[in-house]
Amino acid sequence: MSITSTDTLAVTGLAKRFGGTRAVEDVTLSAGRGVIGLLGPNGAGKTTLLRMVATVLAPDAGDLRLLGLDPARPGDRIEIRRRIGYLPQSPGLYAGFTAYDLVDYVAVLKEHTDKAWRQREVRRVLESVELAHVMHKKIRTLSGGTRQRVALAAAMVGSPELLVLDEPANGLDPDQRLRLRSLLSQSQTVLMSTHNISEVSALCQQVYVMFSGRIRFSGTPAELAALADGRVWEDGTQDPLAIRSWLTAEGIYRHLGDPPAGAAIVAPTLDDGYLLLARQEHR
Amino acid sequence: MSIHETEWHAEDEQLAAYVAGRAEPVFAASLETHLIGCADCRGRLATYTPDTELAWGRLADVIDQPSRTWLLRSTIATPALLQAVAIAVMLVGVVPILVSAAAGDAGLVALLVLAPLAPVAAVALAYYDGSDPSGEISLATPVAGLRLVALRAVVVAVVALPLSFLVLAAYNRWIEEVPMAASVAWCLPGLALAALVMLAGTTRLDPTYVAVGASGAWALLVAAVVTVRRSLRPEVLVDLLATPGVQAFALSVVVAAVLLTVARRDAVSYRRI
Repeated sequence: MSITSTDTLAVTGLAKRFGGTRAVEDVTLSAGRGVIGLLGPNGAGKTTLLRMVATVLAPDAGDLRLLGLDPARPGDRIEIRRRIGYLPQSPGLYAGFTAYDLVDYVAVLKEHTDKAWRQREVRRVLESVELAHVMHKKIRTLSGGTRQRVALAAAMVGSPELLVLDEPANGLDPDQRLRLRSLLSQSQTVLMSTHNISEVSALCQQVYVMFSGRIRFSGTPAELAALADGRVWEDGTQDPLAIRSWLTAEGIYRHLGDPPAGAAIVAPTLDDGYLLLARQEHR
Repeated sequence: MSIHETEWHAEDEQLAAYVAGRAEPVFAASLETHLIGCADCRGRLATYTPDTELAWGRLADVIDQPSRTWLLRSTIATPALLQAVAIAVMLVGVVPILVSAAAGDAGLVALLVLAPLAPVAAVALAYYDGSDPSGEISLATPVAGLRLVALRAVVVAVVALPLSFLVLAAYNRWIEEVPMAASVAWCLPGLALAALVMLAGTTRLDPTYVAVGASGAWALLVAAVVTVRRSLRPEVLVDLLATPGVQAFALSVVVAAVLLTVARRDAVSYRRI
């Protein structure tokens, strides 16, 4: 993987430990414009990696460059924080604020001190996540999905050049997920973690897959799916020799592994590629 | 409606009333029939809609106007700061006044003992992980870290200091004359304790525990002085706090702790693990 000076995000050999646990180990990745997906099971290190990219956690080792700046230097770190937006996995918003107050508060923390500008910007981001109708309601009265959109609006204040989103579709219904896709596709650079593989295929130009703190795959969604080329077949019965075998909604079995002779090979999906990687990881 | 030679045309006020939904139902129905056949009135009606939207826009501008300046929004308007201010008001104002009402000059003792703990509580709350209204989002903003902690601590001090002067003025006026030194004697020891808690925030120590420890140490010191002097009169505490040696020591602690904190500010810039 080559890292260029024009990359919005460039990570080399990044590592983070918590006590004796290696949460992130020797991670190298880069991203220019577009949406970059980070896939992996729970505990793979995605959240720790995103926290380091968002400058919330300091890495133990490795080199991190964001927007061409080095977050280890205090002056650069402040400049980076002016230009990024961050949505944590559990935003933990104060329930006594209204949606408007909360986003306005984050705008202040981002050093937007002009009241008229803040007013326009807060309304703009709340309208962009379709929350104009509830902007003056207390957060405690909002549903989980709506709170998630408030946090997303807060992350988007000031049109950041880099958005770091930890499972942004958490709590959103299918319609809201579609709107989120539309919103993110208009953003400059987005690094997002997700469990939802369909989001990756719909949104991401590049995908990284993490297991046990390490990047195990990097490439396009099509390349991830292609890992399972020739290794997916379907028939009417369960196959005990397959790595994975599951019943589909159509009532037929889909198998992943080394196909028997004469098997009806089908085109792999992103799920197939991911499941194959996961299986190899746990061997 | 006015009657012209060839046709009726709606007047401006009537169109405005119709657009605003204030027209009488019978008149509104009649006007709608007229509008179907009168391009002139339809054209004029269309000009009212943007006005209405502008009016709504103006109303929204008022409703959505940020009600607080950036300073208030980032400090006093946050729950943690309200808690810190409430604690400061309790320690510096309410408790001494209540004690004075119940036991005369013991109120001054209460003020001198409790007031130094107000800035300690303010700093501990400013550091507290769960105190920010936007949770972890705030850590990825440019003001995160020492800037925000210090700003909030200063805001609490700005509330607590004048309040303590008011309490002492009231004490002087209604209970017993006390030396002016008592008014400011607690400030430097209080700041020294708070500065130590702020410094603790740059280490692996939990500032909350350090605040509790500092408060306990302060209580032990007061208890020791009282035991040695065999008196809990205000003069005993004023003597303790207002002596040049104690003030100089407190000042040196403040300076050293602040310098060390600034030198180690990078540690506050990240999430506490």
